[in-house]
Amino acid sequence: MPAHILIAEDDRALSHALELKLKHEGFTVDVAYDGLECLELIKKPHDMLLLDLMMPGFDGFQVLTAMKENGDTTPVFILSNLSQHEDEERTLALGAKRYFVKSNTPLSDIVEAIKEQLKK
Amino acid sequence: MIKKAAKPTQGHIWLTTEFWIGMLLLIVSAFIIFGWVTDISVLKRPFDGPVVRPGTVVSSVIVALLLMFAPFLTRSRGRKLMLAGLGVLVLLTLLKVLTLIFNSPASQYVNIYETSSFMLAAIAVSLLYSRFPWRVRLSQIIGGTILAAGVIGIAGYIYVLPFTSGYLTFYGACLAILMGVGILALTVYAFRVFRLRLILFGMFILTALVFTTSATSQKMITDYRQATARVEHTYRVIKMIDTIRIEVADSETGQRGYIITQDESFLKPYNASTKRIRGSLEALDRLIADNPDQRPRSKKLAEMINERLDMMSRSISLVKSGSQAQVIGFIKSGNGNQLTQQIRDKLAEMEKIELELLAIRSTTLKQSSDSIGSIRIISTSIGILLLLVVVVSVIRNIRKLEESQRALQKSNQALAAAKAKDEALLGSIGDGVFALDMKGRIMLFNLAAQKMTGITPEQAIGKYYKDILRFVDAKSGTPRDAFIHKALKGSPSTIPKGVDLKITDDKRIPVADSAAPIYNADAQQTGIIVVFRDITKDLELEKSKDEFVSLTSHQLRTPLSAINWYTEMLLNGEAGKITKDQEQLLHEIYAGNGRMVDLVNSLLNVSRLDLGKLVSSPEELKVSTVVKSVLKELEGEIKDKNIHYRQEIDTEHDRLYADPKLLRMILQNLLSNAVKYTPANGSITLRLTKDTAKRQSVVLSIADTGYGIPHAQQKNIFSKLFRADNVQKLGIEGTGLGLYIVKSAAEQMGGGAQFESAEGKGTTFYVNLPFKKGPEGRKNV
Repeated sequence: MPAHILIAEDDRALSHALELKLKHEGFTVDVAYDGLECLELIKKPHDMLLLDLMMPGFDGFQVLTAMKENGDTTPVFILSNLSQHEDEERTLALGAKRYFVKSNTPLSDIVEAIKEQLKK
Repeated sequence: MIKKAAKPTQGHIWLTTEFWIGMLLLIVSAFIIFGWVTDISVLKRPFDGPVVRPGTVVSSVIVALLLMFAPFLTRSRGRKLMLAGLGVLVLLTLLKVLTLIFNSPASQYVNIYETSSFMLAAIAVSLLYSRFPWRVRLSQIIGGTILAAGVIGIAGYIYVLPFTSGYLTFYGACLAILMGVGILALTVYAFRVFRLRLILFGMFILTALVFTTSATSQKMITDYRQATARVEHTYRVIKMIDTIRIEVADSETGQRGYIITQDESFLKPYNASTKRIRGSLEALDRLIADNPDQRPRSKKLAEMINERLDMMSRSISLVKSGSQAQVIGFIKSGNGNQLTQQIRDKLAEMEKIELELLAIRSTTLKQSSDSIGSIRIISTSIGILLLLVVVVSVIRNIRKLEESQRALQKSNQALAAAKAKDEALLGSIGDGVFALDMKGRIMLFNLAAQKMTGITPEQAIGKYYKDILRFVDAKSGTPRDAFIHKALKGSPSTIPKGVDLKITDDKRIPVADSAAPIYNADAQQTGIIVVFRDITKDLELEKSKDEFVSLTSHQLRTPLSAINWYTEMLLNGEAGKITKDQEQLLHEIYAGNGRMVDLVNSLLNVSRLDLGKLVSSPEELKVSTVVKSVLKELEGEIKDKNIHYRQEIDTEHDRLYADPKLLRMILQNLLSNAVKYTPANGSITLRLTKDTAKRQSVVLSIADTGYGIPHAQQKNIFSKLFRADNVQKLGIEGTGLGLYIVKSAAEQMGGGAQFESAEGKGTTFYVNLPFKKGPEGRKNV
């Protein structure tokens, strides 16, 4: 049974790249294009959530907050292009497992980190 | 304009010359008063000789008191004292005038010359200490007049002294001392006003002249008086000789008349003359008692006259007894006539000798009188000459004083103009400016400062800056004025970021700029000048700039991430197999994109460092851990270039209390530079050791065997966007931002960055960082 991963990313090019890569790696992938959709989809069990921060409407921080309130314990990796330390700290405090700056991170590193996380 | 109040002279009263001169005047005055009290005769006959009048003594006491206390009085008190003294002196002068008009004997108690001299002295002394330009000028004129009057008075005294008494009485001596002290006071006064050594010298000579002339005239007048006495004595002797001659003749005439007429009435003149003759002879003997030459003659004369008188007496007895013929026989013998002739000859002889003596004595008398005349003429001439010299030099000096006063006035005007210019300049400056003295008191406060703070210069000047200007930390609100202390210690300083000027509890202004020491002409620090401005708008601008940069970099990163990831997948063959050529081109895209990402990251870091957004928030960390994570990013390249990497981290200093982001930024830039600019097979050495030059500090050094930095360009190496020529020629890509970030980050952490480099040999960068223990570490200590 392949792991089920939810991607929340408003940028089509990026969400498509992630989707392609993860499918190529053999994962089952769902994609949400904004925060509300993400919260809708996460109601179904997923093994992992890859969450962007800057999304229209409901942003990544709000998603994390809502998940925390709902008692959702799906592991979350933040994939953002915000590189400020404060943002990282804030998400980690809200329960995110790791924080990646997309432009600085190759896809292969993300995949490796996902695999590592899933082993836990 | 600041009004300058005349301050009383500082120091002890008994340390001034004026005090002691005044004291001397008082003592002399006391002596004179004592003399009056003990010797009533002086009061009865106050004008026989140079005695001192009560008015003079009162005047001298007033001047003495003025001299003693004027330098220690404030302006108003000095004026009161002066007015009181003058009042008494004016009353004395009035008394003199009135008593003269009503011909009262009381006029003798005041001497108009002495009193008015002292009055002028009192005015001069008072004016001297009132310190106003016109009064100083007036006091110069009056001082000059007194000086002249003093000199004339002294000359007059020399002239008059020998004639008034001929000898120095106790009071005469007192007056001499009083005048001497007066001269001394005038001299000191004149010296104070004119600062002319010539005056001192002239007065010294003059005083010496007074005493020598007095002494010499004293001797001469004694000689003159003796000579006069001798001449008078000789005249008396001659007169006595004449008298005797007449008396002898009178006796003879009487006797002859009686013998011839036997008339008793002829015996009356005979008896009278005979009686007087004996007294006259005794007087003559007494008069010539001092002359041994004349004494034998006088004795002989007395014998002859006695014999002659005996003869006459016998003749008269014979006539009375009736022996007329016997008498005639006696006369006819001629013995009597012979004796009379002898008497006459003796008298003539004595008279001749006396006349010769008179001639000699008269000559002596004339000589003595002539010498007194000449000494008078000489001393008066010298006195007048000195007076002329002093007056001329005083006039010249007054001119000089006036010139220097004019020059002073000019320079004062220039100063005032410069001050007005400075004030206008400071007033028109848009930044707040204030100056402090070394004790931290406000000396200057400009218009802009007033506008910003609402405090007027009048409220601010003279106050301690801490009492009205509160520089506080923008976050904590605690006082933050270290920049002022630094400037007070002599180093220019800047107002650090995050300092607010607290206006009220609710209102604060963020401020920036600098403080710098002020020096006087002797290079001595006299205070500091602080320039500050409201940076509220700057901060707003910075904030929007930061937001713009953050947003832009985020937006730029999104497409860059897409390029990265798709290229990566293509290279991994996830979209199907690619040819070698395609792979190479994709690598170029990937690398180029990577540079773009680096550039965006660097620009973002530079912007944040510049805006102070990357504030150091230190935490306990291990340097080796951060190094390890940075090396991980570079390991591919190190391996590709076969670079030999070594590290020596002093375990004792590995644990630091520092900001991990900033440390990482430093290590990332320095290590990636080292790898980038070191050719294949080179080596890189990282060291972390204790800083030997600075206490509580560590040094992180990264040495490479790379291309090095050309010597001529080393000074620019930490500048933004600067890249050295040699590496640009080699085609090595870079942003020119890395070292700027390193230096800024190191400074943000409280340290600094330096380097050593030789072109073609390699470069070593040194970053020194404070070695601090964290809060937990401190607890353990």
